[in-house]
Amino acid sequence: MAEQTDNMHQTLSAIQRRATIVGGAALALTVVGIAVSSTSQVLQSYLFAFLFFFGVSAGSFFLLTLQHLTSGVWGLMIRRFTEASTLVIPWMGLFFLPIAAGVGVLYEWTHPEVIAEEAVVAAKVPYLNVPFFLARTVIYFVVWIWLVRRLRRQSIAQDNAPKSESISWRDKLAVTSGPGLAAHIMLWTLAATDWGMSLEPAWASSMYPVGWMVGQVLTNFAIWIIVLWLFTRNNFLGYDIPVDRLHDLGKFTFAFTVLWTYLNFSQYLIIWSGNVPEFTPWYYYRSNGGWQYVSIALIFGHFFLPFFLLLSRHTKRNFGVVARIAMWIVAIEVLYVFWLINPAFHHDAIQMHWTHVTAFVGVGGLWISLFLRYLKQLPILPPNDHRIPELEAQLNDHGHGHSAPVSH
Amino acid sequence: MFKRKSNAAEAAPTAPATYGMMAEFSGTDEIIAAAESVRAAGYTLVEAYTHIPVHGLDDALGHKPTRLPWLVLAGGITGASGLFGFMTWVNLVDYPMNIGGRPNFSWPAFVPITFEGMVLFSAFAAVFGLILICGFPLPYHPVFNAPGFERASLNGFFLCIEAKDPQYDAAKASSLLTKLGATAVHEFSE
Repeated sequence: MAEQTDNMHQTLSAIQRRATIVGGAALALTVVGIAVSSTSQVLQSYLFAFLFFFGVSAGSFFLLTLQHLTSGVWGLMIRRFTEASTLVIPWMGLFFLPIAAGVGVLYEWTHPEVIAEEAVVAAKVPYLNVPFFLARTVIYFVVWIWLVRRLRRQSIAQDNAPKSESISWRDKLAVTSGPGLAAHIMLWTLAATDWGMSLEPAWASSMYPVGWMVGQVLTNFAIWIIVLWLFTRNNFLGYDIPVDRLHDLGKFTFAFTVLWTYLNFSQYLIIWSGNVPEFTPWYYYRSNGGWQYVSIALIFGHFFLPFFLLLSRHTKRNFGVVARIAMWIVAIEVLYVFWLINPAFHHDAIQMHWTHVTAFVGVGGLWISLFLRYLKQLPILPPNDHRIPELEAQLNDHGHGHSAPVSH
Repeated sequence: MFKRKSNAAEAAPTAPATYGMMAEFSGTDEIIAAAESVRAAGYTLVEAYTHIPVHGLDDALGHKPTRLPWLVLAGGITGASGLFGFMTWVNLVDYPMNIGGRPNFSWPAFVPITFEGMVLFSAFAAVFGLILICGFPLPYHPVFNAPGFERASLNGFFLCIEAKDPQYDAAKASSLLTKLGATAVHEFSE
């Protein structure tokens, strides 16, 4: 086990170094884009990258608190990964600074001519104005940072406490997680409304933050399936993922694929049926100028393909297969976030700019680097988690074929 | 079973044939180990009866995976495509109507019903398919002649080697099951 941990730390440190260099270089290139292209283009690209990677950490917060509350052994598999991912949220506060500086460029509710022209937007000015917008963002981050650090402190305390106290620490973590999860959902609802939905200020949908949040959780299941697959392939963990637990993660991925479709389609159907001028433009822009192909790609790539692939029990129980499906899901989630954000700026055509790539690689590289930094700090299997005996029983159960070791 | 009755009416009453050897085991691990050993000894017609689902017992008995998922998938596809097709036919052919100026083929409006049709017909396929595959309704089964078999619904773990098994020999089967730790072994008739 010690040797595996050393191997893992060496590899992760190497990846971390590379991610920092590549991420830093890509962000520097993105800044060059201000001179070569335009400030507004760079900010648009950066906002997309920020929202995707913030979403990864936000989805992790959802899952971390959920698994503290439900106590299934599936949660033990991803506990430390989600924990490390949520610890990037405080840094995301720093990553928000360019957006805060560029509010006037990105959000058209700051433009007096838009307010003068559109009565609907003018009516929203008491809420959508720069000082209040920034103050709200500060509040979101303060609450998130407090929750994330409290969960980490309790997690470290559990590691250092005697084994006999593991149940009482489970309960303390659950007590933080319950209200924490409720707070997270409210914070994200408001944040998604501010950061994403208000890009098209005349439009509103109460389904928008929920559909996106489900996408974030789905991304998380997919990412941790891939990470667990890579870690077991390189023998970093020192234990196998019991096939029943892999099956659990696959079932969650399947369920969230369906839930994503349900929420996003419901939103579409309601707006389509209502046919009200304030609400239809959002979908009109996404059904024209080439965006319709992205929309169709999402219907097939984000629903039909993963749905039918994950329908079978056999795919969900085969690590290699489910990891490849998970890679597809992460890719299509990137497209989904792009589809949520970018048509707001470009109604007439799908617009791809090289800064989309550099900003994505930049924020992503630094995200990975920070994530690995926190992941290395504590053992991947929390030694005093109350579920350890259950996991050990499942790992020793191979003899009777209850849970065969995972095939790679 | 119905055939057997009519035979009985024609022929003179004879002693019913042996159905098999029923052994009772004390727990899940014991019955899984016993099922594996009995199959390893070459018996093919082996069935287990337990009061709780025992994970891994299917594999130990060599049961093939169930075909029920395919029936459910077929049911789901039938329901979804059937209702989608029906709504398309109604709105395009049978009774086209202008609703809010929308095209007759307004597929978004068909989706909820299509979804519900998929759920309904896959549920039908699951319930009736299960009944079909299990061979229900089944008013009589010889295993209930085994002494103490009521406990299969209370706290018992039973393993039965059927007499139709080509390798079946009462003495050998009985001693094998006893050796595997059965708490009780009984031969019983049809």
